[in-house]
Amino acid sequence: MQIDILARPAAAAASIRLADSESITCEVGAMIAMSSGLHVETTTRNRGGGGGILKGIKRMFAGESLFLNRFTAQADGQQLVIGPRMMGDVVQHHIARGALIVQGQSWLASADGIDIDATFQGLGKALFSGESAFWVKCSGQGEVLLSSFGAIYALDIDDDYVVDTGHIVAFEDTLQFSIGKASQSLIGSFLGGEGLVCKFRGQGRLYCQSHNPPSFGNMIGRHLRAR
Amino acid sequence: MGPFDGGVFDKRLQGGRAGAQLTVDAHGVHASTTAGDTFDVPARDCQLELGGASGRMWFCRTPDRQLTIYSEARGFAEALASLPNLSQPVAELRRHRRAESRRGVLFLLAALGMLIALGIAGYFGLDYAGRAAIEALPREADERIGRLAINSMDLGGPTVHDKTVTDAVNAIVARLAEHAPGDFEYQVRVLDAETVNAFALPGGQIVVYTGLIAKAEALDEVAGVLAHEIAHVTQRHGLQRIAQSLGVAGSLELLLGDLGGLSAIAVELMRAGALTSYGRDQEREADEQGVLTMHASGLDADGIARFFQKLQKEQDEMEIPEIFAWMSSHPDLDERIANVRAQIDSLGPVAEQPLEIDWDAVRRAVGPDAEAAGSAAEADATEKAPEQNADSKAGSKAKRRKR
Repeated sequence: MQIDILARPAAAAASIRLADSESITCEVGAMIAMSSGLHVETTTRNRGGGGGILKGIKRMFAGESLFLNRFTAQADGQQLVIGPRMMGDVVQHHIARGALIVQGQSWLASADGIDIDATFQGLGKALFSGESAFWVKCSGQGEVLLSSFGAIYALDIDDDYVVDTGHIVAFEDTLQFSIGKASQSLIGSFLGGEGLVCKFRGQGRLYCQSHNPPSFGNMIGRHLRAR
Repeated sequence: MGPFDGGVFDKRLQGGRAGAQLTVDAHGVHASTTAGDTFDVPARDCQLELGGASGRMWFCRTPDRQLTIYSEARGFAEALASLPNLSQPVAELRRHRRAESRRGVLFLLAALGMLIALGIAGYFGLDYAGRAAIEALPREADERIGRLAINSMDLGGPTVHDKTVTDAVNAIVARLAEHAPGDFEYQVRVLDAETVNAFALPGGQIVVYTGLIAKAEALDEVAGVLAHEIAHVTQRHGLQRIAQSLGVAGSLELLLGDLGGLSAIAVELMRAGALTSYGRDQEREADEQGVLTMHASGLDADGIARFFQKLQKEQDEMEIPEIFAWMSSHPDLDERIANVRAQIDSLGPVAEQPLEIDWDAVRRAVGPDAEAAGSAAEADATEKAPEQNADSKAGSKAKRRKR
């Protein structure tokens, strides 16, 4: 499997070249274009992960679809182009061991060795961070494609790091994530426009996005006329 | 003990991280990566941390943080705790974690409780805030809205200029106003229409139709109705209605005293008939205050009850199915009559100071047919000409809506 990411970072798409009988599982609706030698199968489970309907329902809580599309090459050199829903970036992350916790909307695709599941990150966090209570947990071995709104940047964190709510794309499971105030005083935090922020602790990789969908929605929402 | 699934952080590794199989023995924690590299953290150097996305991942670091071996595999914590110098930190971290999750649950419960309390307070507070806002408003607000309303309303009949009638009504209102709370100035208009109705607008604008005067057998009945209407004014029910339909934002505007915007809204509401149609509670309050005012004025408060009985009789004759009675905005007339009479009983006897008005003369002056109006009030609903009967029905309808 060879992955090329095109047109980064504003409107990225991933071009995936698959060898015979290789396959990749994608978010529903992610496919932009593909070679004719690909077999498409819509399923609630992804191979290597087991699961089925129950996992599909859990996935729905995490903001993903019940169904997944699995593309399998019937011949060598088949190409599949996929893209995210929002205008933004795509990055490739290799999981060797452990897991990657992905914000619901950011999971785009994963290779066969990756199991995707929903994981609960706490109701309190969801209430106060503006992030979802459920995240997608990718574990196993293989490639994962993440999408974002705006550009993605990756950080290798050692010890503490702070990210504004709504800007998290994914983080490795060795990082602990909690909610805190941006500045010393609570009022200062809100007046500064930062409100509550996400604090990371530990060692591991963190992916952030340059823009966040709720802010963008709030900004353009009031300019949209009701039909 | 082991092996456990885990990993290693070390600068020397490609990407700084690798998956590894871990073992724990008396010397410390050992990791061997899939590539065959081995790493060791001696037990005496191991600094423990509990964290990771799940909060259940154990990290064992060297003091300089150059090397970290970690795992969240089952049994790893127990294996660490079996080392003599680590059993204490493991127990402490576990205690800390339990305390934190307990605090989290408590915090969540507190937040939920607060949300529920806020919801309840908001629900009840809105009504109170509306009233408080009204109370804070100057009297000019009422007057301005009342004037605006009466000038833009189709009152449905010509103004009556007959001194017999206007003097009598003015005398009643003057007496009542003297004993009513608040110091509103009342402007009374008598309009020539068959509608059995009277209404009050904020600020003291009172409208009485000749239909009502013709219907009342005694002065005290009209006085009772007027006392009730005056109560709507003094209790500022019109503005309360406005405040209720404005909601929170509007109530705030009221508090800040934006009368311009308020008047515009008042006119809108009035067009929708909201300004002269009051809620059940407001009607009840006006009845109560009306009785008090009548009593204080030395007039027979039972006039209110007697007039309600007239309306009741008419309503019965209109054969309105019983089922609709509860749907109308005002409390059931039977209930209102009972309430008024109970209140009168509780107030005790009154030194009556009747007004010196020739009521029969007033009724003759308003009635199209003086004799009929003067003599047979109890039979009038049945003996009226068909078109008059129809009119009286229409009047009752208006009355039901407005009073």
